Amino acid sequence: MSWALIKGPLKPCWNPYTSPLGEALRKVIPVIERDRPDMMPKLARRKLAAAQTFAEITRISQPVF
Amino acid sequence: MAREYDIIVVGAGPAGLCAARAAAENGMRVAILEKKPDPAKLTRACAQTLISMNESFFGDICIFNPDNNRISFPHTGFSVTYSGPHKNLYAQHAYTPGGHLIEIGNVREQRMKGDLGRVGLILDKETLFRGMLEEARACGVDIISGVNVDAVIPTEDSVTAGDGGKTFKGRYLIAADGVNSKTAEILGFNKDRQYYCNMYSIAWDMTGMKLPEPDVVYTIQGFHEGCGVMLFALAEAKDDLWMLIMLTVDPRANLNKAAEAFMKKPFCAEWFRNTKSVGVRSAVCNCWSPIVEPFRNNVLVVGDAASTQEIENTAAMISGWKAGKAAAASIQEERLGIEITGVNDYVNWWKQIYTPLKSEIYMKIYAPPYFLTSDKDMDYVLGPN
Repeated sequence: MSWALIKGPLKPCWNPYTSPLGEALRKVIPVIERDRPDMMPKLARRKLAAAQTFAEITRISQPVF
Repeated sequence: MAREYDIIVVGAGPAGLCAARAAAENGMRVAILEKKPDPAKLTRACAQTLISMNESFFGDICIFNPDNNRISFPHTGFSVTYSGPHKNLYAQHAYTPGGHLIEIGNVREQRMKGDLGRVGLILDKETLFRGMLEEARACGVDIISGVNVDAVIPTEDSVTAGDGGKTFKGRYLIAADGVNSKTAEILGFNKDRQYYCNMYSIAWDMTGMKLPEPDVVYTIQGFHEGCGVMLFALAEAKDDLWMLIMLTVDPRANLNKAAEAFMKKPFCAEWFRNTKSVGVRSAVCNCWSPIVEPFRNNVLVVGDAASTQEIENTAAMISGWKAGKAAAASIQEERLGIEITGVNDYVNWWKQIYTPLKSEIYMKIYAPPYFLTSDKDMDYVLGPN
């Protein structure tokens, strides 16, 4: 059901700053909330700042020069 | 004894070459210091594309005219030569781990529009570099290869850079030494940045790939041995060559094995059945929040060196051009004894166009495995249910 909300292809775009995928995902959140409420805590992590999202990876990584 | 110039540019990538040419065209004596023996040689993994051809990007639009071999940026006001092979990309097809397709762009509709329908342009980056190097040389830029800058010393009115052997001095230095910029690190530009992770990639040049649509870039997201990874597949500019890129931000991922496993997924195995690798490159890129103040101690930081992970070829060229012009204007203003405003043109543009928010958006590319933590989750949220 989730992606049945999206009618046809998303807008043509190849820009990492304006990808329509995020917008499409936002639109299906109410459906996911209704059908799979167990997914909502995971999806809430989408809104975390990058520093929090990647915290586990940051701990095992280091910059290279 | 240091060789003296008005402006020293560190790095002969798209940003550095544009910075050098812009400064030279505005009357400055310029040297580019490049660590590679052959500045045009592509040594790192790179998709070799210009993205965002159908919308504004970093305050400009990118036009490619194959009739006059120019890639131009009308708002910023410059163009570079490109006379190599090229192909249009009309859409992005993103697959979930289980093979559900999300079409970003209707390839048939976009194809009908011709060049105006392309979302990206595939080109041969070595040819691009060669053309840009020739244009820089024609403006009088000294291109000095084999100099791996590891010392940068700013003074009140100059900057000296060198590799322990040769030394070069300029009124300004433009740091265009890429995503893992040693210059930015030496000068302390990274102290105020948030370090997130590294992006690891391996890119294979391949023959025999049979993508469903030859003018689409394909992505497959998913997990391999518990690590989030992504596959990119697209045509290369040269006929009969294709590129496969595997990337991850997880240092535990085995990209070689992940590539093998992804190419055997039932929904795409046919694409790769007869592929043969004819070349391979890799890259490790630092992912940081951007440099907020890209000017300090007579040094301007541009392109990937100042951005989150990569700023893309188009924005690298734009930022380099703006910085080269800005530094040239400042030098001339100083010589004339009038108010120095040139560098502010670049700093203000950078702050306006590349805020910390943009790094947050950019890093979303790599975020899905960190909230959809299994193939099953990805297929549920992104696939048909």
